[in-house]
Amino acid sequence: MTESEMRRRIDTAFEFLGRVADHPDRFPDQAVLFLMDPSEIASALTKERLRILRELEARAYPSSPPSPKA
Amino acid sequence: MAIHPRPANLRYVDIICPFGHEMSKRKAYKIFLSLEDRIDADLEFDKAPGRRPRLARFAITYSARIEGRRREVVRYDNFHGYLHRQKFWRTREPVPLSALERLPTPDLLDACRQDLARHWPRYRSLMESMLKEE
Repeated sequence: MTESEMRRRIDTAFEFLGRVADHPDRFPDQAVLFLMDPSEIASALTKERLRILRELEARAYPSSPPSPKA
Repeated sequence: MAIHPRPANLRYVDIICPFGHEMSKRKAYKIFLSLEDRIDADLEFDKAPGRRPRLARFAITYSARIEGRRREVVRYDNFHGYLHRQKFWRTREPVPLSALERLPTPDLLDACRQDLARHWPRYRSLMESMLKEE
């Protein structure tokens, strides 16, 4: 990745944080974001990372939608 | 859920919180810039009754995978009552950024963005050099 592309991703990350700062009620309390091309994301999602994501998803965060009642 | 297209296939996702959800005071995000580079953001909001929540404190950490391990490289933080920067290749001691102290919090965030966007290659390179010397 070029330095200019990396700078662009840093700008995008801070743009996201600015949006959270402006409207915090619209954003989840915790999240993992990938500012990467789809091909890069695919290579990042190894089994271990998939396990971590599943673990994160399993936790009940305040912003999680209520689970359907049985 | 809405997906906002970004230039060069960059995307992020807005998740609209469910009706009736009460926003918590703290938010934490891990933002992967690449397989090697990541920004961790911790945000804390003031919630005065009858007012919109306001970003009060933050810690932004840039980390990189170097020699097979994730290393913190630089952090911008005002959680301890003053804005400071930690350059982890030197020391964990915080260095106050007094010149920026009076800026409103959104402007502080922008100052951190400018510093990181401008200097990240040097910061990362200095961390790599420090690890080689160890």
